[in-house]
Amino acid sequence: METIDIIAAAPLICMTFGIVALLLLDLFRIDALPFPRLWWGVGICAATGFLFWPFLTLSETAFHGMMAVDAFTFAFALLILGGSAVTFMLSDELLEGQRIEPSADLDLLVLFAALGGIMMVAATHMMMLFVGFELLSICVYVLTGAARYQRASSEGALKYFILGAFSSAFLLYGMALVYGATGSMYLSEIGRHIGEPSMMLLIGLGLLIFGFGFKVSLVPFHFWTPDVYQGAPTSMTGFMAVVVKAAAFGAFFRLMATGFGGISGSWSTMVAVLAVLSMTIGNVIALRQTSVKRMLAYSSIAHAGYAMLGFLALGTGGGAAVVFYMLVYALMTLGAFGVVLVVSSGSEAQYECDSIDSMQGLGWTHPLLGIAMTVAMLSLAGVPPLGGFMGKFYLFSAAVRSGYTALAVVAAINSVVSLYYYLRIVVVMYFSGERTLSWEPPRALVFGPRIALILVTTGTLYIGIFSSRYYETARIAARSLLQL
Amino acid sequence: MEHLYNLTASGDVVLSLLVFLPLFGALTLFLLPENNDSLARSVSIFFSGAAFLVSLTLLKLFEVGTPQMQFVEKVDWIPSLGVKYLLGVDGLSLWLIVLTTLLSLLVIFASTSITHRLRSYLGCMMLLETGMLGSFVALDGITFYMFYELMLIPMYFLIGVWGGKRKVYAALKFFIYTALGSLLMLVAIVYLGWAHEQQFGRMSFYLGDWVNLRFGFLEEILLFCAFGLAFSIKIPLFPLHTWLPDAHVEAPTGGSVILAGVLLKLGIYGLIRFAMPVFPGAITYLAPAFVVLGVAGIVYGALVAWVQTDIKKLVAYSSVSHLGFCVLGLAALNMKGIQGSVLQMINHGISTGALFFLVGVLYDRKHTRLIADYGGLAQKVPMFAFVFMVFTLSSVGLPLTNGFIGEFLILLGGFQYNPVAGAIAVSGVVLGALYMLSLYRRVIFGSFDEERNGDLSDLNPREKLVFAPLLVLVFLIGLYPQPFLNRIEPTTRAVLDHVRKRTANPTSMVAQYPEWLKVSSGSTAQQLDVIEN
Repeated sequence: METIDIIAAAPLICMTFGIVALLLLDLFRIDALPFPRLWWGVGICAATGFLFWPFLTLSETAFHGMMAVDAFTFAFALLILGGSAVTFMLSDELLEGQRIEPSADLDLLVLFAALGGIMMVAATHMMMLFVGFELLSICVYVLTGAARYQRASSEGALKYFILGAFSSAFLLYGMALVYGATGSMYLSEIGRHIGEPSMMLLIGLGLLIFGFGFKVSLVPFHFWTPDVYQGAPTSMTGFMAVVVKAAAFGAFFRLMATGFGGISGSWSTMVAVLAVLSMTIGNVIALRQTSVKRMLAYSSIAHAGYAMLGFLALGTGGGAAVVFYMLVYALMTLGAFGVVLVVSSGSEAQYECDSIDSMQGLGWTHPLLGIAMTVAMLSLAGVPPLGGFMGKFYLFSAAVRSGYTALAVVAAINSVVSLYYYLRIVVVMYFSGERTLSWEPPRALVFGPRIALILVTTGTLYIGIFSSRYYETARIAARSLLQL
Repeated sequence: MEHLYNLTASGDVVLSLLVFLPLFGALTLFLLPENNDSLARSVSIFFSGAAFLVSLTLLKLFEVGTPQMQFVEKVDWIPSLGVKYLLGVDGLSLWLIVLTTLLSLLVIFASTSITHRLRSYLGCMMLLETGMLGSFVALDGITFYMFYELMLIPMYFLIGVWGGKRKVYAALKFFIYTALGSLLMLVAIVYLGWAHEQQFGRMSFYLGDWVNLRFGFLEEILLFCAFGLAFSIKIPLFPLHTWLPDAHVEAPTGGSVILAGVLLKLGIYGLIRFAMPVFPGAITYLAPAFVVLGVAGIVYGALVAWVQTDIKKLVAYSSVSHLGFCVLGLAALNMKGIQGSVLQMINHGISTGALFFLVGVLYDRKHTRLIADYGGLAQKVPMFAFVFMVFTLSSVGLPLTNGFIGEFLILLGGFQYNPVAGAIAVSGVVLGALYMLSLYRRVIFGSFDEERNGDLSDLNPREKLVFAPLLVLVFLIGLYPQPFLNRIEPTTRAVLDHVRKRTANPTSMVAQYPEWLKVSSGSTAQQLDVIEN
């Protein structure tokens, strides 16, 4: 291994050391940790993020070019680590009424999943990609089932696992076909030798899109999403919606841009169809949901559809738009799931109470929860001046500049549809009078979730108004893909 | 005139100050203790009063006789996509700004009837004020859109939290209706930015850059429709008006005043500011449709208002009718029409705003808005009856009141455009007199029911203070409209000149109409002759 390799791999190596250290601490039952548990997780994420910092301007490869740590990796790594850190804060063990027993095992799984996610977005070799993909997936299967004594949780985990195994198989098969057609597993080599696409290559590419479509929950590969989102413990649902989605989108984008950017003509129609289906079906089904988590699951399908617009506009800022959208999406989604987590922790019910009615009157009795949820909902709906609007603006401009005005119109109409169900939450929180339910969420919020909610809410607001800097970073990230 | 809306940055920050003062007010309110109503009210009166003073300063410093943008502020916002934070004032927006700050101040001052979560109510009002002011001064498409949409959220809360029985339905209908239009407009805005990149090599969302764009026929029509739909919903143009009566009836008094007084104006304002100069061909081509819909709105609104039993609903439908006049004046595409349309916006803001205040006065005392529940109020509350009369007459458009000047100019423009349209619109004036005076008769005259309304009290000092500035304005504009028209005129002339030049040019879009559409271009030429005369 050359020195340069170590520099590039250093953040991930250090992260692994951190995780192993945490594992050992837990193994030897060192109960008297000097800090609350959540700070260990946040600390590891922060330290790794810090180590990634130089790679905004630096671009290095490691392991014989199987992995590239460049601005693109930097952007997604920070996103993944940030999402994981917020997950730690939200699942603060001091927050009573969570349906999982906080334990070091779960922390380790979250961290390993984040590690896998970073490997995925950094991978420039399909084997590496697959290893990251599996590391992430397997950890998340377990996390879905973390509420061991709850049927829904186990059911969700099993569904996710079985369907996920299929998608992994499709992914592998697709990789094999692409390898057969081009003779290389390196994305850049594939991109270089692609020429006139053969049937085998196209089938392989289709299978790859299938595999990733499953992970980012595009219609028609979305059937697992609502059940898994609802069944998983809420803090883990937030993690799934943010970190898994960001990692999958990052890797997917790198794959498409670096490997198959040259033949975008042969897959753009397919991606456009997937985007329109996802937006429309996701939004329409979300209208009828009574559970907030299921509603957010369908909304996440719709948002995956919006983000796919960026794939179609590779040359006109689509990459930057996708990176930026993932950032905004992470902020607002974490806000939404954070509120659901806190609210359901107040319920005495056997399993998480996440019906829309459980939000009743919250805006007045719990101002922080009300504001956080309102900001998240309006931002998801794309109302300015919140982050979600800016995300949509960048996506729309990328799409329009590539000549996909019709798709932008479809997305705009979809946003109007989505307003209805996002606003329904606001209606329940503010317009429906005093709370008539017998229970309510804790009045005094413990430290972790409070900080997390304040962070993501102000972040959503801030990034909507001062988006330029982050968009520039996203542009640098997207451009670093083209240099390879 | 290739340089409509040419800019010279002024280095002033007065517009930013104006726009963000209410926002600071809202944030300050947020930090105050929740239950101290009088403190909250004082703080918001302070901030909106300060905004009002700033707008008066603007009025004083405003240079008359030039169509140039004044007090321009220009900051790069998203450099890579050419988005700028760009503010400026001209004759079109000047009076609307003053109207906005005045009405906001009055609404906040008159908020005593809100007994429930006053602090949040005031916060919403101030946020709304920021949104409205920002929309009136923004010259960049994206900046404009941000402020334009920012208005939706507080208005949604105002209706939804402090509204009447069907508030949830009304609030949702208001929000979704408006958002449908504006999201399509967003796509059009993005498209224009991209079109500028194609034609001039860089993306730009600045209105002054957009006016130089050239489009194909269908392209221009579609883009115009995206803008036109958003603004027509806002106006609201018949038949897109159905959200308005619901929103008005359910909204609290303050919400109705702002909705009728300012929010609706953004539709007309947007058409004149954006749609007209950017798509001169399309607006000329589609002007007949706007005239027809405007006239239809005048008559329809008046007829429906006539049969209402609820005072507030009656005033709401009268808004549909009055805004129909504004559309007619605008679509007539001549000086008098557009000028009248701009003035009528101000007039409507004053008189209808005051009428909603008056309805609120009655409702606060008796908690009913049915006409049948009142009658003979003249003997019991003479002051109220007098104020009501003035605003009724102003709304009807009696000479010497402000309403007359605006409607008269619009009708002149309308006749110039097409005598039939003008004639039908005149019938709207007659109908307007009919329903407003019949409302007045039924509420103020007739037999007084001592048992039911015996405890009615006349206007209190606070309410008198609210009506005083509006009364002054009614007569000021009615008797001496020149200072108002002087400031409006250069801008409307510049916009109209721009439209004329672009459509008269042989390479313009209108000249390139496909053969089967040539009918309309003939009438355009006729129209231009009229303007020439």
